[in-house]
Amino acid sequence: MAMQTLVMAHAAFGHNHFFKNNSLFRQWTDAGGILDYMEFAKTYIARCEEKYGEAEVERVLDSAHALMAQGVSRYPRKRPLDLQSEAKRQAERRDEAERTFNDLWRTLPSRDVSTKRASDITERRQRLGLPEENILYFLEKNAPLLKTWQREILRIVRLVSQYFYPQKQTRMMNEGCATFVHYQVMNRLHEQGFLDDGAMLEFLHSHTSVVFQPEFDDPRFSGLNPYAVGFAMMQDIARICDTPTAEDRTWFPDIAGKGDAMGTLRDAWVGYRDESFIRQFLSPNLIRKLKLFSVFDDGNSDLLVNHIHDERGYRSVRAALANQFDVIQHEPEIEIVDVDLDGDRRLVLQHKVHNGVMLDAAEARNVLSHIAALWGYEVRLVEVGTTSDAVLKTFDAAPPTK
Amino acid sequence: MNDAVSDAGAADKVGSGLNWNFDALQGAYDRISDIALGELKLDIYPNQIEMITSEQMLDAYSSIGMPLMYRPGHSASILPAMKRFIDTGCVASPMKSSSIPTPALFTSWKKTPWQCKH
Repeated sequence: MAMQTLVMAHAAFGHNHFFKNNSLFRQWTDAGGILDYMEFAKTYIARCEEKYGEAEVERVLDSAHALMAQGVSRYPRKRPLDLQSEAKRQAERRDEAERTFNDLWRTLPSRDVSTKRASDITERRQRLGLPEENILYFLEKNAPLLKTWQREILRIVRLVSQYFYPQKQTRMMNEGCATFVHYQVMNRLHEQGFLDDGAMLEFLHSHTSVVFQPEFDDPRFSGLNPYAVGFAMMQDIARICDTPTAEDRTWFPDIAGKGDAMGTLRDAWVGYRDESFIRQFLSPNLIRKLKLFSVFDDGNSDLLVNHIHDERGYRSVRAALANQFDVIQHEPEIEIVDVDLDGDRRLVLQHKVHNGVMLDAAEARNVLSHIAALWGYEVRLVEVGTTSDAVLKTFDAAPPTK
Repeated sequence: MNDAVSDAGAADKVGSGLNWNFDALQGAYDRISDIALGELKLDIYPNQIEMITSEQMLDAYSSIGMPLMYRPGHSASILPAMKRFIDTGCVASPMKSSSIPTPALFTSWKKTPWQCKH
């Protein structure tokens, strides 16, 4: 029963503690309401299928799922999502949404193509809340042809996506926390004689493979294992607290030798996400142990190993790794920037291209056709540079003809 | 419950192997709880340990880990990958960003069909 014990320690205690205490989760997620909300969502969608047919529902869900990563508002909200009242007040909110939606279209300036001045465009953007990074939110509120149940489905997918957003930003810490906890617990259980040697060996075998990190030139290498990095960092923090070297004391004067390993870790689990955790706590000792180095690629010339695990490289390697774990830096910056309300109602999106990284053309076309299907009119996506507004590439999509 | 066997051992001892029963699980849970809450000072949501089959686990995974997500049929497009993942007991993590081997923690889900839910 070693494996069951391991999984309970890992998930029911390690992950559980992290979910309950990490500040991102506290800010964004409502654990008390999620199960009820899921139950509501399930029932709602089942009812839609009875009423409108599975194929219809499937179509909306497919499009919504394609946009899930674009269903997130990334900047902190004032209060956490309250999923309980979300489910309860569904009908009430729907009426309100309907009203707002109608107003929006009714109060538009009358159609007058000749007076398309800059101030009109500014006003129109303001009225529509543009630019808007949360595409699902925008479509739910503003897509002209969607029926109420379709808007509700977009909302469900969007709220689920938002609910899981903290997980993306804390995956390494979350797994590290759970792994650190199971490791401590299993060792204590063995010490206490509750786990026999056979069970302990079985556990260690499993644990070792979970935190296995292939070297960069190993055929199995496919990046850093978040379990390995998280666990190693947390073990390292405990070491710094309990038995620091002179180097640790220079780098981590606040915690080195203070002895309160668990307290330090619990604070870190509350206050950080992967990116900031690395920036704060990755030590020279661990950089050496993991033999980290950074590779520079300008896209043209040969790859350059520009920083290694030495005195001059620690800070740069640490910064590079922190950036690598920063979700925000790796997701394309796409926003809805305009709607041509006077003309053909075309929706215009913009992708700001960072470091020359363009969208995959085939993927972009696929996703764009889902947006067009929900929006009901043509959609254009423009890729622009960050320094100038020069257009690098344009994609167009039209809704499927019925 | 068919998987439960009577020779899983007393609740005061954990051995290797896959045999288990509810009493033994509860015993292990209590022991872990003493360490995690008493010594490590963790602060957790109430746990609910449930028995589920590997098929249910499959559904749970394909609906991003939520046991109550809308009907599994909707996840048809991601099911084959998940199924491979679970059946082979496996080498790839389902997360695209990391194809690191193993979460043996995941493989254990298959062999021992139960799940923690918070």
